[in-house]
Amino acid sequence: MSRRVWPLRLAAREGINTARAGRWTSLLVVLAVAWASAIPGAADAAGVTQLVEDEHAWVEAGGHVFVVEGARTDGMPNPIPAPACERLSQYEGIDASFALTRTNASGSLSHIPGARPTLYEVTPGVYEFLGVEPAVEGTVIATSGFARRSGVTDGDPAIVIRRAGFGVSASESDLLRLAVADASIMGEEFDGAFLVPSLVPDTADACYVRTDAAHHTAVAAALPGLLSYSGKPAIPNPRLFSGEFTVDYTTAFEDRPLRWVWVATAGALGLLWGIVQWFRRSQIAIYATFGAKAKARLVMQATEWGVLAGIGAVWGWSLGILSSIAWGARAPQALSAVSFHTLLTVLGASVLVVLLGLRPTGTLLNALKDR
Amino acid sequence: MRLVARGVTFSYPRSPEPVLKGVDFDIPSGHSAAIIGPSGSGKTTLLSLIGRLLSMQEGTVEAIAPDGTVRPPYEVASWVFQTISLLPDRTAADNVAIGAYSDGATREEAQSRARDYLGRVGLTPHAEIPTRILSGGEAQRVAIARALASHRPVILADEPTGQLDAKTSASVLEAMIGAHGERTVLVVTHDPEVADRCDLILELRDGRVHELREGANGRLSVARAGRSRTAMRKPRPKAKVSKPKTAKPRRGAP
Repeated sequence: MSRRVWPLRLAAREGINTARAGRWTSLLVVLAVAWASAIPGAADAAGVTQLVEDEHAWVEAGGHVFVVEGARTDGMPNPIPAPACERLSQYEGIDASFALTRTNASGSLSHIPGARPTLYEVTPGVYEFLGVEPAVEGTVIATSGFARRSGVTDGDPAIVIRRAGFGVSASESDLLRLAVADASIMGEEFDGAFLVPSLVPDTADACYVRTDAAHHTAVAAALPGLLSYSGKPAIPNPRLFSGEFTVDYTTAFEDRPLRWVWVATAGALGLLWGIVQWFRRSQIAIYATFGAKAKARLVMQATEWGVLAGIGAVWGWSLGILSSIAWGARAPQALSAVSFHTLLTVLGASVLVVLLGLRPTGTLLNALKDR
Repeated sequence: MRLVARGVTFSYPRSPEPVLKGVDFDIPSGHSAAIIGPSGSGKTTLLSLIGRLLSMQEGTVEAIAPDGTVRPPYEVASWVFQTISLLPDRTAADNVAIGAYSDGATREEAQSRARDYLGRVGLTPHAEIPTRILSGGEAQRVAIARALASHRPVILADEPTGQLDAKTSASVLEAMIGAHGERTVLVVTHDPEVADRCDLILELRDGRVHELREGANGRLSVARAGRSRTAMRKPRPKAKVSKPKTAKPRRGAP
């Protein structure tokens, strides 16, 4: 009798044996853990994938682009200091920027005289902004919409004929190299326009600034001061409208509804385990009558849970990843979301299992009478 | 182990009347005793208090080793319950091994004891069968093997033959009460035949020890019991025993 009764190692082994012998009960718990991990994980992975795609499309459409214009004085907008705009990409968080001036003139290519694209003068920062390689002989940027309609291709030689307009006289450029770029990030009004890079003027009508999700808010706050003119702060406008009915992608990932579903699934698993243990309370009481103290009984239950939850989690994790990919999720999102849900569901449920194991169970007599 | 109870009193919640009112007894080491009495007399309650299935409210029960060491009975007792009280999904050998684990046996030792005691109750062929598919009598014999495998010096049994036929009941009793001499066995029973197989019969009535007498197969002499055989067999009409009736241990009993 001096030997230690029910050492924890023995209790753990008893838990493993109970899990192995448990038949329907063990199968039920394994299935429940598997589905509780797989379904929310897969659904969240599909949702995250959709969110990432939507955000990608939003960014492609100019979600992180600001169009900065001068404040109005006497109803007239102030200009933007073009050199300051051109230098903005030196600041951390600003990927590219360029200044733009409307010319009030339309133009055409010498070999396509019928076209009437609007001409915009832009500063050289546009190359980085649109991802265009400048040509040695000079570049004119045509939008992909114009190229599609007119049949021009990237690299074509081009002479731009500037037609006379309000305050603008007609002129003809040297032989330039045509660059075709997707300018949808700047807005639909530029579809069919020509962007003509030129030397940096003193002022411009607007400054286009591209940032990223991490710096979006800080850049928006800094731009009025950085582009102020005559002491008047500039007005940065998000390129895309945002309001209460539009998705805020800076918080959409954190705010997605399925992010916290693991709390519910962990709670449900804890409840299931509690019900199973309640139906088996007489069996737990048997161990107590044969000398297993509360700590040993807790180790038995926790080990049994650990074995079953481990099997269920591996199964659920695999099932979740496969199903989420089948539902259209990308592999990185599937891996991340399913792992997140599986881990937190099992950890949360395990905490509940331990708490349930610690709770007072009433008298052993009552537990044994209920067998 | 000698079992000594003094002034055991117990009330259930929401019950105005105590179910046990100052119960005293002294069961010598290595003897068997039956606790009998009408329904509601507190038999199972008394056994549960001894084995700490219920918490003691008033009074004490002690297990006293031959060397004088005093321990709580639940630390030295193993149980046989009225209805099947096995782990249904585990094998008979696993169930019996639990008894061995209760006094610190190693895994190998527990498995060895499980085989040994299952053999003693005639269940060697069923050792690796889950107990859910055993008959009631076989399951109860597994329960007794489990209690015996514990090597604990006290066996507490609550109606161990309550749901068995006569033949199975006899074999179960033989396995359990046959262990006396080595162990102190305390059996709650309604069955006079079961009671008569014990050395002592302790009759509870209205929460008190109404009578303490020797069983038909008892091994206590009049002198050892401390009272005349006649006096023990014929209860006095108002014999509400309020002071302990001590039956002294046999010479040489462990």
